[in-house]
Amino acid sequence: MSEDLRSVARASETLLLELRDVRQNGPLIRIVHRFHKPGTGCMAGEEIWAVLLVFRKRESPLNLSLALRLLLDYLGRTRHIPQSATQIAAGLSRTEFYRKHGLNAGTVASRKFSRSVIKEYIKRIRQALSLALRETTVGLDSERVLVSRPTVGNEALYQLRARVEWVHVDETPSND
Amino acid sequence: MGHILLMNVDELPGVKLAGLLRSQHHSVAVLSVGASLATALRQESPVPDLVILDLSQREKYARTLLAEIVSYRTRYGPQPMLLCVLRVYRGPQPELDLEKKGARVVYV
Repeated sequence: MSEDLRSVARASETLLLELRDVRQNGPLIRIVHRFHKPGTGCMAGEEIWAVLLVFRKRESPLNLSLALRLLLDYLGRTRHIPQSATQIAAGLSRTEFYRKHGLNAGTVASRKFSRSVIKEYIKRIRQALSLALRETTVGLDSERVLVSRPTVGNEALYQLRARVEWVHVDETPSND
Repeated sequence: MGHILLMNVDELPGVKLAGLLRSQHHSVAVLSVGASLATALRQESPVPDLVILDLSQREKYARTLLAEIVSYRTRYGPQPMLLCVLRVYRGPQPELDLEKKGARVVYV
């Protein structure tokens, strides 16, 4: 058997393993928070600065508006529990982090969420994920990352199937 | 176990490569030279996980297949993954161009 064919077989095996890994565990999503106060954990007042899809150490930014960044951050934190749009809207409006989002920068940058809006935002997040996933060479559908689960009733539950990590950028000291 | 489709490969190396991949518990189909991607996808169900495309021979036909795969992925989603086989290194540009199209490259 020639070494050329073995190289092709090895490369194929690597690609299929990567595919299996992202299908099982989901892709890696990195959420960057800024205006973090040094010495604290993840606290209310920080701003969700950017959301990045990381694949093979390459970061592809997800182009998300403020509301979508808030929603994706929330879905990342609660990714172990599928939730309905109503539950998500309630969680977002009750959690201090989202109510005081960006306060450390001087003004609160928040949004109001309702059940119908959540459904529309889920579609938009999927679109952004599709664009970023297209840049990676692995064949993964955004509907397998942000999953809709049917219930016995007519409600759908949403769950983020991804590995999520948060990175904190410290508050910059002001010059005045 | 994955589902692999070989494209634009000569008969003898194609058989050998398919045998090697089958020995790693993958299911493998070989597209006969001259056939189109549409034919392959009609015959293959479900859509393959991975397409291996030899770009270093029958270049015009290979480029047509590549364009068909890219267009299929744009229309129907990210599958299948694409692995392009190249024999001659012509600098980083060809590899970058293929990566932009969502393919991986292996040099043999």
